[in-house]
Amino acid sequence: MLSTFNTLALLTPPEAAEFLSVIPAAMVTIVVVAFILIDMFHRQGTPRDYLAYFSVIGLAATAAGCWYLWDTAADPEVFAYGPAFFGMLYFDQFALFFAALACISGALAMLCSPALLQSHRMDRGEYYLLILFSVIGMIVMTSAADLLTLFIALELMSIPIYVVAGFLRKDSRGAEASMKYFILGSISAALMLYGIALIYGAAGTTNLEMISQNLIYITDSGHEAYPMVILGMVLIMSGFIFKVAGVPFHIWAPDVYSGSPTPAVGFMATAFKAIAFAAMLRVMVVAFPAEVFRGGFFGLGWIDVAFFVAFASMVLGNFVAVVQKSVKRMLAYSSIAHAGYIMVGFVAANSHPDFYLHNDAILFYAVAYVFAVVGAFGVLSYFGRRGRAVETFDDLGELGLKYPFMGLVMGIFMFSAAGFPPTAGFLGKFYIFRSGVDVYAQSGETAMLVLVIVGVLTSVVGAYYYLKVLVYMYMKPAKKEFPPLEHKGTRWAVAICAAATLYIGMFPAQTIDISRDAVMDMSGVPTGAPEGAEIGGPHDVDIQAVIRAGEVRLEELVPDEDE
Amino acid sequence: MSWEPTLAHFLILSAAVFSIGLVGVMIRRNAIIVFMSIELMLNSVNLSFIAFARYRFEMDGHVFAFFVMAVAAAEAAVALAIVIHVFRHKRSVSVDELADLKY
Repeated sequence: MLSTFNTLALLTPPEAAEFLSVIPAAMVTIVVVAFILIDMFHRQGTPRDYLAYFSVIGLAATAAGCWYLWDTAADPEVFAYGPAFFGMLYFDQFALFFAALACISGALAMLCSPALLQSHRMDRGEYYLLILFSVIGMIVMTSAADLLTLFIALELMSIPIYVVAGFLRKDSRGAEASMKYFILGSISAALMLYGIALIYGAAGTTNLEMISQNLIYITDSGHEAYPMVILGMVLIMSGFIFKVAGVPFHIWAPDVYSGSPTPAVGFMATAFKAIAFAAMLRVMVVAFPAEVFRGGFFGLGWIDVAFFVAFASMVLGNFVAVVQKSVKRMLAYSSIAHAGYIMVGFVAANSHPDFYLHNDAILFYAVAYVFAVVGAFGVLSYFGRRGRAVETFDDLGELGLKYPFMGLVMGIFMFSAAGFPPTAGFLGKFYIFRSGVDVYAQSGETAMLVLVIVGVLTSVVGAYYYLKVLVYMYMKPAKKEFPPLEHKGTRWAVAICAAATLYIGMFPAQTIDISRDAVMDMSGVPTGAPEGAEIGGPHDVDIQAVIRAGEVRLEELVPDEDE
Repeated sequence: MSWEPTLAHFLILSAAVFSIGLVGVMIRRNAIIVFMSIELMLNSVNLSFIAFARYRFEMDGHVFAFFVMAVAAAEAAVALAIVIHVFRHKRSVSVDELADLKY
């Protein structure tokens, strides 16, 4: 069978408007090329701070570009037929939202880096370059409309980071982190690839929307290709769960986080997670929307897999974080727990198409999480001088008193990560759990309520180890001296993170609107959006936009009562 | 009696090679062999793609296989660099040596 979609597409040259979809990735690519040219003329022996600032400005410009394109992306008349470039890339607000988030996370992490690199005598341009490459991969991944684009973007985002993990060459722990990350990351990529091959075999296409259309014929469990689809789906999902460090695939996270350069860990822990969740949301919602693949609760589809991952990540992440002695390992386990919380939102929003719009809770949580965690790793990198880096909780003694500014911002980040008002983290958790309770209230799924209760209880455990950081910083005696790596980049980065955390926590309306718009505008969603209009309540939906999003399903807005 | 390989034969071969690769990653101690096992996994997937593409008489799978090869080459470049990096520190490429990061 010849794929008719591709044949038709090949006869049509790309419209000029399609190039809008590559603008964010192209902007970062231009920054990369300019970076290489500038680095070529660098005079040996002088610091490379200006290269970091150059990359930060480039990424900030890209984020601003995403904001500039925001309204264009929602315009249904920009280009009418399907994804751009013969069904390869989406151009929608959802992609722009995560592209901007990846840029912001990368920029803040790079701003923290120069002092640390200089202290390790590894002040090299390649570090920033590799992070920029990874950001390009992330931007493409959020807009991927085809499993081929998705896989290439996944590798483009991961491979540079394997190198960054071992970038501090004289540190043998970095080498170990890099090796472990590479081996486990490649296995997960291979598993995901095998899943893609099986889905390709069953559906005969790698285009996400075509997959969902073709798989309708295989939803009967007696069909000979049915086991192949289920296996492929689970393998693809396992690749994503690895990237977000969800529980069965979380083993790498503590080792890699504690061995890698600290500011880069901020980038790995936040941008990777947010982007992998975005791509997982897109793939699972667009390509496998059928009820039988989704599974509901314990029909054992992908929602049930997500349910177990969420449950196990929250419990294991939080409880193991309690007993850690190293601060970075504690943050690594807490990031596993955060993956669990985001997964709760994922389960709640996608357990039934009616609740699809609740996905904005995930987007809001991702924003809150990025600022708090990049900032926390930024503060740790401030005390990361070579040979005298802060490692354990004991090392934190009195740092808050000696360095009041760093103590203050670390307090804000820890309160946000633990979920205390008035920080962004509180609202993030609130929206996640509220979406879960809402699903329970409207559908009566006890499983959902169990998940929310476990989430709330484990957050209490989380508060213990986050506040422990502050207790050590302010109330415990100093055992050793930790001369800070004074650098205005780090100060600016943590100040921006703290300001954003407080601002979003106190004035969340704008961020909520943006994340809701982004979810509403997600392209390729076959059934979710129109039914979403019926929810009402906390989400007052723009009915026109909903109808625009799913013109095909317009009749279904009016239920047929005779049947 | 003539015998022709069908789609199922290729898929079984591909699954077998993939499993060999996965087991190899888990039980072999030499980092280079581990890396070879990962390549084996990627290439067994290529076999699946090609078999499906031939079965359906379309080009998508062939194209995908080429992209996977390119990605595998990029991974090889990074992997060998990492192996050398580890060797400089440990004077060995055994993955058992990599046990500093746990406490």
